[in-house]
Amino acid sequence: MKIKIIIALLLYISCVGIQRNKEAVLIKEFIIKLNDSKVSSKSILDNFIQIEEDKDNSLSLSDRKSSIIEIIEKIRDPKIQGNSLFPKYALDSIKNFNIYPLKEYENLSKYKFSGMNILREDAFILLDDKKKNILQYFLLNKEHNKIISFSLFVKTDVAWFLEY
Amino acid sequence: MRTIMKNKLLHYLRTGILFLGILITVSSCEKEELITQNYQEESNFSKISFSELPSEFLPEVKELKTNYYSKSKQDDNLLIYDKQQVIKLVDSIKNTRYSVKFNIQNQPYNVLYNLILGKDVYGKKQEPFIIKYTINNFNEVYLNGKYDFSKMKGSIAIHKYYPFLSYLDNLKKTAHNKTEDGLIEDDPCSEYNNDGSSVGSSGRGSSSVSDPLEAEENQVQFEEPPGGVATSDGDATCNINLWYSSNTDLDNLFAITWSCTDGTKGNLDVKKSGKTDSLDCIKEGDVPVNEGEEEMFEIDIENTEKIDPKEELKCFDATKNAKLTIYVQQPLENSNEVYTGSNGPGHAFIGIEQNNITRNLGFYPVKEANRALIGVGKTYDSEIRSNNDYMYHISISKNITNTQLQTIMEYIRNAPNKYNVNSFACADFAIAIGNLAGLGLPSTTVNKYLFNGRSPGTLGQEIRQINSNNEVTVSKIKANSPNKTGECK
Repeated sequence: MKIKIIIALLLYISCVGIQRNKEAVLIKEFIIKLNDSKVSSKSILDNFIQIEEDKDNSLSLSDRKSSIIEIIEKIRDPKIQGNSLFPKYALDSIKNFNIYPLKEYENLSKYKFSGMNILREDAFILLDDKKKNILQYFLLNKEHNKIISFSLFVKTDVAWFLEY
Repeated sequence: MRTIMKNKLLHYLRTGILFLGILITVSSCEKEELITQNYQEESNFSKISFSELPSEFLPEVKELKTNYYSKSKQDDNLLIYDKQQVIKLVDSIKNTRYSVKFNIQNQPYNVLYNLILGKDVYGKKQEPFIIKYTINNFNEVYLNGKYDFSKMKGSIAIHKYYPFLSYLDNLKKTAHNKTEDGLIEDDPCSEYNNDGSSVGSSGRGSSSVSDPLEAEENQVQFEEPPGGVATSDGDATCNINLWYSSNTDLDNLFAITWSCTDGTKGNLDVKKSGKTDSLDCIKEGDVPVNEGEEEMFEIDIENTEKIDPKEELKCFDATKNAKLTIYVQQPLENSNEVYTGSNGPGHAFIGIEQNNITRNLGFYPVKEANRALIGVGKTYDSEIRSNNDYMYHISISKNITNTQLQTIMEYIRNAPNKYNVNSFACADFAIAIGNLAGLGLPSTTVNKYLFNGRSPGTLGQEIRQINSNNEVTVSKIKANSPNKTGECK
């Protein structure tokens, strides 16, 4: 009986670990490629980003995809000053990819987010090495295997994830 | 017997393997979670608020605030304070110093000032002084909204308090006269720079500077204390020591070292570039440097609340004249940029003043619990929010008649209930109201990325082309909007 409980506990710990690891691996890979100019913007779009037709959006899907590519290129452009929409930071200063759900570090966010009910489940953040500052925000899809948004639209202190 | 022993052995083996498995799994999970230990170290400094400053220092703070900072008169709003924090530092010999960060309007972005207040170990108040930091490699030092002083290349100037006030007085007069004449600051009593090549910090960059102790080899006698600078860059707080020669003939600072709570240490070799009667300026004891909170200009959250325009506008007397102001915060100051720049997409909003009543209003997409995304090509419900004490780069004001006021109030009460980044957003709202007042603001559509609408960047540049005249006043000085004043009966 004890062994069964231990095995169940073991499975649970493994599942939680794997689940957490899944998002961390996805986001870490994305960040590395986002900051690697040798990797084409198109391949980042294809491999990491989820973007679908939206009848409520007056813009075409191809235009929206182009905007993602433009944002990636702006992030990579050293002449562009970064902001919440074009998140830039010195990647070489990151020793550990501290990736956590936003809900665990909500107190570090300087923004009030619209859609907190959704963000509690699907929003993740990259923290600096000392886990004192949020470097970048990510909104994942329901399956947590693709990124829906990696930049913010901020008006004053209120933030939304930018829907591409 | 042998079978029992064998069974027991097998049981222990199974249990052992099971625990080993658990151990491996748990340890693997920990590794994958990439968790690092939070750095905890006791430090002798802390962040306090303005209200926590000891009362004996209030005269200096009030002096600066009253004379050079005004929320109601934009032209007088010469200083921008970081209202979020004061850095307090108690050094090893129990001197206490406080640092208040401020910026001067129209100064280059790579310049910041600290007002240093302090008292010695006996509780005796010391002369206040000003430290001016000019950061030549700003892009390396200021990243992600934080300063990393360990990388700084530039100059540090120490100014006596009262001569500096004279400089501010002159600056204020110049601002009033709207002249472009440059003003020279009072001579700093000490000024140092590191000429770029000798900044170091272990683990962060190269250090070409030897430990100051090695200066003994150059026959320079020195002593620690006298001063130090505590920086708080958002993650680590650093205590920076200023090293002075003990030789009275060489009574000046010649090196800066620092150590931070994250374990980094560094040296900043300084070469004097100004007058150096430094011990006249700065007494023994550590000096906290306050580079501000994460953003250069923090915005108070309560200043941008959702409001009911019908209730807010009740305060105005529709039978009387008023003053309307259109405020524009550009994504990048003095630029047509649409998105790039420290202010994101920027913002445009309006202000109405009548007698002692002031209201500042902006047009926003509604903030909802179940909607985390905003798309450029999509339409959302809108809401009006207050924009009090809100940073702007340019403004245009006009006195309006009671008829115009009525029309504007009617428009705001029935403002479009949909927000669309492209078809109707904050800039459209501001332009529409400005034009009801007869300002004749252009409504230029900008097409960039997915954006195809009116941008605060362009609107700001267009207003910048307008000169003040008998009817309109244009302010091109970065400032904050006035606070909300006056309550409705």
